[in-house]
Amino acid sequence: MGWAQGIAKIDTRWLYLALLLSFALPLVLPTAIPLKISGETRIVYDAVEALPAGSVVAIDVFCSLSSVPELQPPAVAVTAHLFTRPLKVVIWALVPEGPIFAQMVIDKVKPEIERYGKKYGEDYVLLGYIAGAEAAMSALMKDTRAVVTRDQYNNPIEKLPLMDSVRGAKDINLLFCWMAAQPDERIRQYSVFGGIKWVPINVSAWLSGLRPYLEAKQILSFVNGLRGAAEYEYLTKRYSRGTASMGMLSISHLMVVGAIILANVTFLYAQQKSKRGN
Amino acid sequence: MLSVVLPLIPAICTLMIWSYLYKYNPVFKFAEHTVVGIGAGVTFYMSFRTIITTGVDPVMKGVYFMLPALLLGPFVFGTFHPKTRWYGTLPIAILLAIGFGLAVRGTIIGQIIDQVRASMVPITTPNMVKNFENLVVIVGTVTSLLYFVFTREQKGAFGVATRLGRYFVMIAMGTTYASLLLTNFSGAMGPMFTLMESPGIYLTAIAVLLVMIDIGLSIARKEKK
Repeated sequence: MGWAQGIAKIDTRWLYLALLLSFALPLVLPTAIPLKISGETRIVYDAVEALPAGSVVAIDVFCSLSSVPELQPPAVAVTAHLFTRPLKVVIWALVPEGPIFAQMVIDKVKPEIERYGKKYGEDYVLLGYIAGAEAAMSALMKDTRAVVTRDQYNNPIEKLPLMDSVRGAKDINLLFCWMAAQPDERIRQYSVFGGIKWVPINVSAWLSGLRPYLEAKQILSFVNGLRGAAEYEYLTKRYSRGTASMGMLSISHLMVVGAIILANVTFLYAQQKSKRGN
Repeated sequence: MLSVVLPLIPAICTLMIWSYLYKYNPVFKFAEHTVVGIGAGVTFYMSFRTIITTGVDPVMKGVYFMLPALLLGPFVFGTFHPKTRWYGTLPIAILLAIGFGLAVRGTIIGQIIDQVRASMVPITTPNMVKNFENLVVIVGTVTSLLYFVFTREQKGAFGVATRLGRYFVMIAMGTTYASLLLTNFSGAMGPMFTLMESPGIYLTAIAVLLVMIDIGLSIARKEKK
């Protein structure tokens, strides 16, 4: 039972080191990873492409800053796509850190904003943090002005021309949610009572929680974390961190799958050995 | 000077937090407390700003329907003292009632009726693969629900169904765990770009050197003993 005992006694810090190396290696030696575009990501891309000029796209930011590494690449990919089209974009946040994340994404898509001549207040607006969670969602769907009086930069809402045409759910053609939590509240307020087509840009942890809502057609589709970002970047031909992360993701996952198999084989071997011993 | 220091800050913070992977140390502790402090500060500022923009501003403009909410708000602080606790329960009761009412109305339609409807799927379509998928949905839904029936002993045909339900629940949990793992890895990958690109790469090299020196020193100390 020597080798099994040896494996069981490995210092976990060696595993951390191996994991960090598996992240670093693809950055030092980049390799092309074949990528198949999922049906879900394509639906989102096609939905944005099909929106008529002047349509209003809302973005609900509902994620803490710890989710930024996974959510920023898909959020940037989709928002950049929105700014390449003649659409109006309204962004609000339902968590206090949301406005910081929204600003980070807007800074990343500055090239698109400048290239397509998008003007703040006319083509896009950042409404900032809106307190109240589910109650705020419900109020936003009914009357935006009842809950928002000033934007993220403290401008009065009356001075933003875009907000004249965005008064509630009826004015929103498509809604995205940068989401690092379960979708239940949004299903209740946006899908059931808002009647809006909405798309979660989610962290992978909630993928299995979203599937039932997708099957029930309560959400249009979703963009799933880094993988979704890489697929979206491929569709928009705007390659960035999503694509660059695919090598890291593949190698680190292979390492973990290997570690799980090795741990289980060791465990079963040790179990059999002790049974025979008894 | 700032143009040199600012790009280094994300890399410094990442290394401070990741130093925990080597061992618990004061640098990690400092970073941990900084994160908590900044988080609390941002939340306080944003919440205070919300009270001003959605509460005080409208009242100053003559929209008085926000006044009861503004007056009730400070009552929450009553919960801090036993003698005034009762006053604090009033705004909390109102908040709970509104939250409960909003959640229930959507739960019945969105999370019960629509989900039940979505699990009623045909199994006699011309597409055999789709039929199989739909059959898995039906069997999985029914047997998973049966697993949570505890008013009858789980044996015989009922026991077989509940065991099948348990396997479905285990598969669902396994999928969720794998997804969670993917999220945690993605969280580590973002900072990796900061550490492997210039100027973070220089700090990474220094950090690796420091860890190696510490390992060397601890080995030397052990040998001395």
